[in-house]
Amino acid sequence: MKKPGTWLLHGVLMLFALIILAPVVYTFLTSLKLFRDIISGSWAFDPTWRNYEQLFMSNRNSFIDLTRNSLVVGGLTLAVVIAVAALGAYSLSRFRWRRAISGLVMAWLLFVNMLPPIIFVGPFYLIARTLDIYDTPLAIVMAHSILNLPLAFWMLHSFFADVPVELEEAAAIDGCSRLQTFLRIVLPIARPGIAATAVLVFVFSWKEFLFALTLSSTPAAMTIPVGIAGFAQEYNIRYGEMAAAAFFATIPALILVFIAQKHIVKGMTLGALKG
Amino acid sequence: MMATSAVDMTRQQRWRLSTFLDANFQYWALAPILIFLAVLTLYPVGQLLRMSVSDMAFVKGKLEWTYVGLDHFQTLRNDPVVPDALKNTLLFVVVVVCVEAVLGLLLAILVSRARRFAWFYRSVYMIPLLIPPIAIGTIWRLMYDYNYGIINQVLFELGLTGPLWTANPDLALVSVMIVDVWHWTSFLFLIMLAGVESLPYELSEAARVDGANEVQVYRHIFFPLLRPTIIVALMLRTILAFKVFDQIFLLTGGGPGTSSEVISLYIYKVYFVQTRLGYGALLALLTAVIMSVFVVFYQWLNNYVNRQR
Amino acid sequence: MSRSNPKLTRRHLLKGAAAATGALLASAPGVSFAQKASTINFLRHRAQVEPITILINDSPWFPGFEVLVNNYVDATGNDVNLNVTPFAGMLEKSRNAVQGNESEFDILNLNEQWYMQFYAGGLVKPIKEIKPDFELDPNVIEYDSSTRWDPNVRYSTPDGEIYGLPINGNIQLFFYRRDLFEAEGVAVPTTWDEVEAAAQVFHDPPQMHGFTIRSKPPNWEYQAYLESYGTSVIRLDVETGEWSVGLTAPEALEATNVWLNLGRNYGPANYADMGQAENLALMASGRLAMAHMVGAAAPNFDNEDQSVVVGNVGADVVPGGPAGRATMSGIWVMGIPHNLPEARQVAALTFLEWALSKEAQLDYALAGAIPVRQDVYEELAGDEKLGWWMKAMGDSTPYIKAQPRLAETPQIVEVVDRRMSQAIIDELSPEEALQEAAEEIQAILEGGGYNVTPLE
Repeated sequence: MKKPGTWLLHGVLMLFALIILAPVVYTFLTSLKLFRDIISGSWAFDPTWRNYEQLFMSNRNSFIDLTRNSLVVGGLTLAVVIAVAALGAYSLSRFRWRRAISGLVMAWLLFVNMLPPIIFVGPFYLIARTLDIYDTPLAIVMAHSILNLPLAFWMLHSFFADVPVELEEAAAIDGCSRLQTFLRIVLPIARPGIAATAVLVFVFSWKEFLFALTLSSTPAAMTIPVGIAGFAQEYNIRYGEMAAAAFFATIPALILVFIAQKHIVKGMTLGALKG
Repeated sequence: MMATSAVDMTRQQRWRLSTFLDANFQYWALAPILIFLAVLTLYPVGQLLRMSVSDMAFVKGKLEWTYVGLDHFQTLRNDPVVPDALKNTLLFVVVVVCVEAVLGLLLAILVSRARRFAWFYRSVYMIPLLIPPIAIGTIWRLMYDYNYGIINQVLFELGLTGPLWTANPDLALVSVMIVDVWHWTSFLFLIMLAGVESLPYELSEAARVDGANEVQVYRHIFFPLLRPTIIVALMLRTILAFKVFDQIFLLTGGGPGTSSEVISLYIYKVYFVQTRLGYGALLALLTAVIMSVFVVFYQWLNNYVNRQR
Repeated sequence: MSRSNPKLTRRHLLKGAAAATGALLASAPGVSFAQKASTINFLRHRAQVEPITILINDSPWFPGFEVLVNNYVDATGNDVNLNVTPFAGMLEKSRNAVQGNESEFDILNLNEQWYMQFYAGGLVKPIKEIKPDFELDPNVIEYDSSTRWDPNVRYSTPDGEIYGLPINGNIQLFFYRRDLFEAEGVAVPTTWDEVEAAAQVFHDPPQMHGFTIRSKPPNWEYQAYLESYGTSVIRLDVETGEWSVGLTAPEALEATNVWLNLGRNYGPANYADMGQAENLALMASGRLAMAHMVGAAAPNFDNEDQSVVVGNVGADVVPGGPAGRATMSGIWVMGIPHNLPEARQVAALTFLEWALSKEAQLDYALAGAIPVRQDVYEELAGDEKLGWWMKAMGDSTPYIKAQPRLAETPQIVEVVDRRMSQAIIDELSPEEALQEAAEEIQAILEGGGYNVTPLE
């Protein structure tokens, strides 16, 4: 029974992997084509690296700079959001709060998340100019934090709710402070959830366009999606360069996701913890 | 974090401070997020509420506000686009969230059962989420193109005549949904995977010993445990689906006609392109109300299933 | 931007005044200037005005603009900093800039679709308020008063004050496959009827299509059909100050039918979803005989990397109807934000005046941009490389028509786009589409407080 089942399992998983990868492969092939080959409608083409040269050699936005900025923005956003959301979500999910207060916080987070991002553009621009952080990665981190806090908070809230209360009580009896209990007991158990949340926060920051655009002004703070948007011009789309940029931009994020994904596997089991 | 800033305190003071902090842990743990929300959301949301009952215009470089009360509701009543946009939005949200939830959960369960290559599937299934939406929209539009797109090229090789995709008003929204499922299944997959991976497998083994089969284990043990995660995932995904923007903007622009017009795209046009800030603000708030109905429904569903058990 | 541009960077060292540096840093925080010191050019020029920052979109004509700026920097010693932004972000950034206490940009590049909002709201400064004796060189094309704004009628009229100066003279051209036309001995069409006759000769889908219309979104090119039949979306009677909606006129129906017929019968099967990019691609891949599209596409057809029809495309004025020929203006103007200190406004205008001079525009055009001077078009009409379309651009000048230019334009355009798109897919008949559009536009004008003639 085991053998055919395993084969079937991998067959299905592989099929989905192929479906997901097909457009990615197409993007890569497009990135090796000249415009005239992209629109030719035929299979044959001469591969060229010219689109990649445009990304790195042109005297305009260097994608090296943009990648650095994207990593800084994504990393800082991740750190801020996870720290702030985890503390808050733990507090609300584990301590006694009046329903009115906890309900208001949870609902307000959702409500903010429901509004179209475009309405925050003007206010955030003014806030960034006032705080004198306009055109720095910090301004973008500020916007990305508020955009991702609702998602992170709600996800972590649900994952913390799954952590058995008995473990925390045991830790308290052992003399752990509440912060220690949170850091040493709750976080490790909720690791898959935290890793998944962290991946989402980073990824959403990595590909966010609107605020990265409006809160940056020069390559000093510009991120990859802004650079990519430059290839969608008024009446002409530079498909080849855009495909190259999209393909290239996926690689650093994929490496990070690859590192993170192993934390999404089984957390510590109940038995292991007691010891 | 407190220890370093309190180096020169006496032991006594330190002890008292930490006791104080510990006793009030729940308050200071919640403080950062409250500060974030207060500083960054109160002003924009207040502004939005005020806009929804005002008209704004630039006069000699200064923005002037006029209170108009409920006038924008009148505009809404006469707006021929909103009914189409709402209908498309609801159809879009329900279809993509359902399809993605089923696929996401299925893939999460399958991946969690795959011993070998699990790292490969976990990574690959995340890829669509990593690509900037502007590139996703552009590349898929290229793939859909009737004259030189790869999809119809492949169909042609298989001896089929490809459809018009985004140029066919009956297929435009479907075309957008296909891209959305490709793009966003990853999101639900990831959250569900984290949920599935946290499941206590000891329980399932105990159940199997008692003679339960695989389906029963999932249905009676795992699914109830996963339910809170699934509900939150569906809720977050529903909100995101309501806000779908880049991919429709780039793939169809809402057309042909209004066949793929959705409310988020229309709000962008009204609020931003046409600078009808007041009416746009009202549409944004109304959309949030509609989303709230979904959220309340999910919470009700959660409680209902809870009570049934 | 200037960081990555060696010429501009060197220039930054020339400025002696610390105040100037301070102003520049304040205007564009986050960029460090003058990092690589070099004094070679120290004696050549000295900046006469404050450094400026220009908001400009990344586009096919950007390299030309870059040359223009470099030439200016070399010729005057004044500093220019370019803020290169994706097209998708231009409006956001322009709006933000004019709302702060002090604009971060000294010059905004504003598109045909939105500059009237900046004029109407007083968000850009009238040029005469910066320089009272300013005169626009008659050789600079005004694109049916795109430069002007008359607050009394709230419209761009020849009597209005100058608020913006054109920088990119984009209009529509008629492109055709010269090689095919010559081989078949077909004359270049000058009317829509002749376009149809020629399309019948060449139409052989899917290898070759006779003609395409743009349908995603349709309004810009569609308006040229209306004009060629003697009507328009809206029209102002300057005598009475009264507006009227022109879509219920019988001419509008004729124009719409011609447009639909050409698009449906001689275009590709996905005619309902053809954007500029798709039309351009169809022409560049050799599957289109004729196209009515943005003139700025011309250099793409001559680019070996992008096109398989290099040297085989011809250009002419857009064909016409009973009321003659028409091409719609789709230009960019540069405006100077209202929220700037006087010295920065003067510096910005100094650049713009220089940029509109004939010599500057010649180099600008040769470097791949679209000039805005008639004498430059005439001079380049004989150019070996660019002449084929520069001549058509120059010839088109008398036929340039304005789109609606009200603060409400984006709303009006949205109606035209939506209703005409519904007509293309046969969701509405042409009559219904026009009637619905007319009623909606009528309501928009009335809601805006304009004096409007009632619909027939």
